[in-house]
Parts: sequence; C-alpha cells; structure tokens
Amino acid sequence: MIERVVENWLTNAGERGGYEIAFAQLLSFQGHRVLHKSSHGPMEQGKDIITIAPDGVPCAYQLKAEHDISLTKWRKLKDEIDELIEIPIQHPAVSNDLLNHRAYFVNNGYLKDTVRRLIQDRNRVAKQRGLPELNVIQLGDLVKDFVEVHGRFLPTEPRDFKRFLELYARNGYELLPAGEFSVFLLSILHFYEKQPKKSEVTRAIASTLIFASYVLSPYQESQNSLAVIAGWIMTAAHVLALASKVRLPRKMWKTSFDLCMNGADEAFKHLLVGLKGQADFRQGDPLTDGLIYRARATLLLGYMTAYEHYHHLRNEQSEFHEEISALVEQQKKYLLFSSEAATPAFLSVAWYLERHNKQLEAEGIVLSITEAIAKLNGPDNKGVRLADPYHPLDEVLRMYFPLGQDGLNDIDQEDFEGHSYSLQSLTEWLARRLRRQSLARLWEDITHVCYSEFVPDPRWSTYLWYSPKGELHHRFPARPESWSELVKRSKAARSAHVPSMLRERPDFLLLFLLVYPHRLNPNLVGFLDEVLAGT
Amino acid sequence: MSLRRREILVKKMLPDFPKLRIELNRKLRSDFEKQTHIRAPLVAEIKVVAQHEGKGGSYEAEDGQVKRIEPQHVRVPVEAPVVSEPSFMYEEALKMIHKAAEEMARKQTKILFETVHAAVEEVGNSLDAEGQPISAELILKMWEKIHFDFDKLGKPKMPTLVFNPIQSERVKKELERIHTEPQLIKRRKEIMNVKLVDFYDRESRRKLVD
Repeated sequence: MIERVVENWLTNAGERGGYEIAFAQLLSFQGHRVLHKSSHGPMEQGKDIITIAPDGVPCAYQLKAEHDISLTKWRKLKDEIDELIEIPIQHPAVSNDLLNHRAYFVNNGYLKDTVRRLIQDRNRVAKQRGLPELNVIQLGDLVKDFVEVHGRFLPTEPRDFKRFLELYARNGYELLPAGEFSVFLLSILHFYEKQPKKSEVTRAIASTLIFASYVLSPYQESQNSLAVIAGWIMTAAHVLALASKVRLPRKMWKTSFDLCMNGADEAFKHLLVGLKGQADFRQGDPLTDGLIYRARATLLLGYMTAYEHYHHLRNEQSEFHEEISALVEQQKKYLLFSSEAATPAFLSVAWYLERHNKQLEAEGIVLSITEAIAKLNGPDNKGVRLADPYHPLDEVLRMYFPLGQDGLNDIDQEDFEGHSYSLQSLTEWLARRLRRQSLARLWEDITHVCYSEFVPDPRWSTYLWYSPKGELHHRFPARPESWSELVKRSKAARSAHVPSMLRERPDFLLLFLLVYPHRLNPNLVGFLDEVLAGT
Repeated sequence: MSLRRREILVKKMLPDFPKLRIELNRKLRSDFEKQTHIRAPLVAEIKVVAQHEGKGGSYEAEDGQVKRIEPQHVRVPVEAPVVSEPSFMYEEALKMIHKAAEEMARKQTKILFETVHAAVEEVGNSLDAEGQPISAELILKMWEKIHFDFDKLGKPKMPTLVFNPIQSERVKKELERIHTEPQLIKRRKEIMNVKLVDFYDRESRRKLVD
C-alpha cells in the first residue's frame, strides 16, 4: 500500500515545490548536509540542490518531473546536464575550482533505453576526460528510498489515514483547512508520544515534510500559492512545537525548518512571477467574483507585504520589491476588514507603508480597523459583527451573504458583541505612535469592548493550531485610562514575553501571525514593532 | 451545552446513508438549541462567547474584579429507539429532541440561578424578604441595590424579574402600583434619579485622561 501511495504522489508531483523539498529532506536524513536549494534563476547552473555527502564529497542534483524521457526530450535538457557536470559547484563551502563533485540527474519518471545507453556512453568519455560521471535516480529508486525512510510514518490508524486521503483529495482552489491540516501534522509527528527518542523525533519531522508535500500538492497543481505558503508555514510551526516540546538540539531540526521556509519562499516567488504586470486579480466566475474580490485582495496584500518584511528582517533585498510596491498602490483601496482574522494582514500593510515613508496612511489604516472593532462589536451595533480570528475566511464571508448557516457551523451560534482579540494590540500600536487625540475620540467606544487574549499552555503550544490546555482571559480597557500609563505600557520591552523560537526568528513571526491570526497578541505585535523599527 | 452522540457499538456493515443523516443531525441539533432557548429564556439572553481552545480562563466583572471561569459540562440523555419502530418518523424524533431540550433548559436555568446566587452572596447584595410576599415596596428596595443602565434618552433598561408563575397576578398588580400610587411613583423617581447620576458618573469614566 505505502509503495502505491508514494508512487502516486511522486508521479503526480511537479519538480518545483512538488517533490524537491521532500527530496532535499530525504538527502538530509540520509546524512547529507544540504547547502543550497536553487531558486531556479540563471545562476542555477544545472544544480537544483547542492549537498555534502556523508563521505565529504560535494554532490549536485538536477531534478526533473518528466514521466518518460525520450531522446528528443533528453536533447532539450542537454545544456542543463552539461552545466550540472562540467561547471564546478559555486558555493562558499565547496572548493569551486575543482570538478570533484558527484552529479545526479533525478526524475520522477523513467528514461527510455536509448537515453540510458547515451548516458553510459557519455560516462565512459567523461571518465577518460576526468569529468564527473552522471548518476541517474529514477522513479523506482525514489519510491524505494522514500518508503525506506518514511514508510512507517504514513498514518496507519484508519481515522488518520482517512484524513490524509481527504486532505489530498481537496479542491486545490480552496483555502487550506488549517485545523484539519494541523491534526494531520500532529498524527505524522506522533506529537503526543511520551518520551520519544530524539532520533525518532528527527525522523518523524523529516517524514512530516514528505507528507506535507503530498497533501499540499493539489494546491500546488492549482497554483494556489497562498494555500501552499500557509501549508509550509504551518509545517514549520509544528516543527518548532515538537522541537521545543522535546528540547531537540537545533541541529536535529534546523534543516527541516529551513526546507519548510524554502517551500514558502518558492511559493511566494511563483505567485509574484504570476502576478507580474497584472492589475486585476479577478478569478473564476465573474458573476460572483466581485463579492469576494476585496477579501482576496486583503489576503494577497497581507502576504505580499509580509514577504517584503521577511526579507527586510533578514537584511535581504527582495527581488520583487517593485512588484510588491505596485501591488500595494493598486490594491490597497480594496482592503476589507471582514473579521478579526484580517488584523495581521492590515498590520502588515500598515508596517509596509510606514517603512516606505507613508506614516499617516499607515496610522490611518490601523485607526480605521480599531474604530471598526469598537463600533461593530460595541453594544450599539445591531447588524453583523466582526467574527473572532478563529473562523476561516469562507465561513466569515457567509455571514455577509443571505446563504443561511442553519446548523452548518458554529459561527451563527456565537455572539461577537463586547469582546475582541486584537483591540488591545491595536490601541497600543496607536499609543506607541502618540495618536492621543484619535484614541481619546474612540475611547468611550473602546471601553465597551473587552480585550480577549488566549494564553497557550505550555508555551510551545503557541505553535499549534489549537492549544488543548491554555486559558482565555477577558479584561476591560481601563475606565478612565491614563494616557501616560497607556504609552508606558505600550512601549514596555516585549521580548521576554515572546516564545523563544519566535524571538529568535522575527522574520518568521509575521508570516506565522498571518497564518495563525488567533495567536496575535499585544506582546507579539509590540515585539514586531520593536524589531521593524530597529532595522 | 451538549447533545452528545453515544457511540453505537454495532459494527457498520450495511448502507448508512451518511449524507442524509448528517443533514438530519444538523437539523435536529439546531432545533434542540432553539427549543432549549424557548424553554430557558433567561439563559437565552446570555451572550455566548465561544472558547475555541484550552480550558477555562478568567473575566473582569463590571466592578473590576477578576473572576475565574471553570467550565461546567451539562449533558442530557437522549434515548434513541434501539430498533426503528414503524411509526418513528421525523415528528417522533422532534418530540424526543424537545423532551431533551426541556431537560437541558431546566439544568441550565438551575446553574444560572446557582451562579447568580453565589455572586450576589459574595458581594453581600442579597435582600431577605423575611417571608413577606412580593410587594411594590420590596421591588423598589431591590432596585435600590442594583446597577441600572440607561439608553441615550435617559430611559432605564429595566432588569428582568424572575418569580414563581403562581405569583404572576400579584407581581403584575404590585408593578402597577409602582406606576399609579403617588408615594411609590415619587420613590421610584428618587431611586431612578440616583441611578441615573451613578450611570452618568460611570459613563463619564470612559475616557482617556492625563
């Protein structure tokens, strides 16, 4: 069964984002040190992945997703293969003037006999010329290796296996079902196993990446990059959760975490390349698209600006900064605050505008959502209220349309009056910018809405979608509130209150909050404010 | 609230009509909610704030005190027929659900009163009628002890009065007295004036100061 499952995934996976991350993870698990995973630019020089093998020899891999490679196809690949073999590896960790690397051609299909013979002939000549030989890894080899390393981590409980298949069978154009995806990741990670061996944990983490690749493949095929990004961010967060829980040494999980981020990075690039030159992001049926366009634009702007912050916090210049800037200018008028799940997206856009010298506009955006929460969730509003950040966007949008929710989900049974998960973070954000008059104008409305905050327990459960043991706290804003106290509180140092893995990775934090909007709290927002202002 | 499904131990080996049953289950659960609210109108007035993860927590009361939340599980049994009876149709299922809703409403209302009683006792705000029947004077005494909110026109938002249904006629008569007898009208006005001042005082604190 497992062979069939893995084979099915591999034959349907594309090269980029399809099985590339999973393959890099496999190499890492086999003892390779993964040095580089290509972003598929002109500097690739035929090498998608570069590693140092356990015996110290550098290895270069060219990955393809071709079912059967005929002679004609092979000839089209000739230039890349030549570069793979004949151009030395360019990496600081490898001596780059020597042709001493091993070259691998990896394909999730098979080579025709004529091609195999051609490679044998070529290798004979290469040996005489002192060039590296070309090694071939085909579908059968891949299946064997994947099954050997990860086979036993395939969900075996009928319920888990059913969830796995259901996730795989999802419509790739939908949003990622985060709650279900999290439960799936927990089952692969054997998350709640008592006292697991550290080596077993590392193996489980590695397997999780493989199965995450599998489950994300419908979104990959549909080019639904936002869902793919969310999937990799969630996988990375679950790796952090398990690593923190069992106190796994950094070297035993770092490669897996980096590969997840690599997956997210690839999906961002793919999306940005696809969006290049576009000014209109309508999708599908034009009759209904106008009804959800603004919600989609908000999601898109949140992710794109967060990607820009991600590079900024890593002291890197995003190669797409002009595209992102144009996108923000074109689309910001469509921003829609449909529920509190949109708060991180709005904050990301506001930080972006702030960093690009549009301070007033940034503050205007945050002020507008603060006012929206205070009014819409206050006692005077008799219409639709702002749903809490736990509800996915499609569920929230139903509230605004006369579609009926009778018994469909919980959202119609909840009352969002009088509490908010983001209001405290937003008032403190504004207080740090000394917007006293604006806050004074809103304070009466604000005092009618409780600050709600969920505190995960233990702390590592912050990285999970649901923390089984935490507590929910509601506090009223002070009545009256002292401006000086508010400013003092809002400017207090936050880093001690931020879970260590997030404190060490502020570049990851904003992406994490976009995917986990219910984890947004004053400490995390204050900390992001500190690091973004300090860079 | 919970209308939990007891696991059926019979191994599934025949067609189960899952889609239809999910729809039916949703309808019946939704009806259960509605019927519970009809039978427990006081409970229905309470806002539902969902806790999506974790267990318990805390909230701040109007007076600034922080109170713990210890969730309580309330459940009622629903006896489904072991073998489908020839007459068991949707109406019968509804009857069964309504019976369960009745029981749930009773349990929830009991918990509500116990909670209110504990809170009132804690702050020393209870009023001992010393065995006297309910009267306009007693009602006014009660009003003196509680917080009132007012609308934008200064009209009080009157509290809900809960009493035994057998006293319904008497309560109606006593409430009428408050609005017709000059002495009681005057007293009511005095109380409401004090409450209005308290309310404005409370509301005036909703501001940002130095």
